[in-house]
Amino acid sequence: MIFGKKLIIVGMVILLLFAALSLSCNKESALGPKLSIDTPAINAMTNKQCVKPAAYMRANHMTMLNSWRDTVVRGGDRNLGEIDGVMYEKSLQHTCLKCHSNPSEFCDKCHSYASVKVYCWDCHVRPKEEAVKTSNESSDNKINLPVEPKVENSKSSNESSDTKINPQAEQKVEDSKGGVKE
Amino acid sequence: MSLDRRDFLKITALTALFGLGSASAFKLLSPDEILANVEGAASGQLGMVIDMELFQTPTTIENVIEACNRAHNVPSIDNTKHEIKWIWTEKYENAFPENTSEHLSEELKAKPFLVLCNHCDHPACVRVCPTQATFKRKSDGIVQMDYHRCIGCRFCMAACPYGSRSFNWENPRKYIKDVNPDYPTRTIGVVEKCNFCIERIERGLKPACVDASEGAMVFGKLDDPDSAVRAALATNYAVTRKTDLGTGPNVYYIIGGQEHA
Repeated sequence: MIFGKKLIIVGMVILLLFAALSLSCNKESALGPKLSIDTPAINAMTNKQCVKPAAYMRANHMTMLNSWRDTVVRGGDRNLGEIDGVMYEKSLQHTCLKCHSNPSEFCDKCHSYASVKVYCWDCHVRPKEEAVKTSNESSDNKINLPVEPKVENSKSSNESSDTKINPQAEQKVEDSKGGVKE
Repeated sequence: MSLDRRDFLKITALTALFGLGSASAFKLLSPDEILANVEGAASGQLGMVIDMELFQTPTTIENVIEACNRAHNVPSIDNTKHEIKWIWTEKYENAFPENTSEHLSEELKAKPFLVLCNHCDHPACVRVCPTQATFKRKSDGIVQMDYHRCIGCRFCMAACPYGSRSFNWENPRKYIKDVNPDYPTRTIGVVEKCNFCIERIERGLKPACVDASEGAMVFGKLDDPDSAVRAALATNYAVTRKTDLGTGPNVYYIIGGQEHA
């Protein structure tokens, strides 16, 4: 008979295995996307700090970018001010993407997770990520910036190479910045 | 006095018509409403003087156009119905149609004139823009666009008497050979035009066309008597395009040809 006891039990086991597999796969996505801040420009920073705290940026980066746009385009005010001794410009291409030169590992991760379709890249130019990945030295990663931010501490570049090799250290950084996976 | 139903309705309708009509007439004619839409010459208005006499070789003109196209990711589309122009050349008779005549010198007839957005004192494009995507900056008088706001209605293209505006009928990225990472491209469905190199001026540079012009183009503040533009205007006879229309263009042309006069 096709409805034999054995066949049913085997079928149930297979079914359970599949269910368990889907659960284990889902575990990852349930924790949220994992963002990478492993870019040469960020690794070169001693104090890995965005223009605002990570929690603020996570919640408000879109409104902040909109207000940057209005003040720059309408008011001509490009100056964001000095943060940790570095002068910043209100610019997606010249400020945000200079550090986060890996939008596919940073922007896209959350936006695809949350199914948020952004149209930034219709006009704004994404950095070439292949070039970023192959270059190990942070100095190679500098996109042509009219306002070159200067990092005050010269030790920073040495430290950066350490943190880059050690995945644990990078993990810590992400946690301390309030990485998205909390 | 007695009113029948018919007369009552007539009087009511007439009163309502008068009430509505006078309200909208008042709105239309009240001076503040209209003046608010008119932008005067901004203090610190930036202007340009193009000395056509100094453009001796066509290569310089090509370099000027190329410098602008590279700086702003202007696509080169062969289809003239879809082409995007920030700075380009026109014949004299098309650039200055009101000042042309049958017996123009052959030299003038043949000469290509560089034309671009005039960043007018009273820009028609700004008045018609329904979303204020195009506006005149108070600080330097640049007629600037916010591409995020442009809905692609093309009213501005109909309003601009200089044809300085182009519409993106298709995705411009396909037509840009090397995308300049320092400046965004535009997207399908928006209008674009010359921005007087706002992004360079704010960083203390001159416009890209002026830098490439080998001295034939001068740029500066028109209300500053010591500026280079004022010096050029003080010693030369210069004209603006379609001056009669009252748009107040801020790009001046030194036509030249004095030795033939």
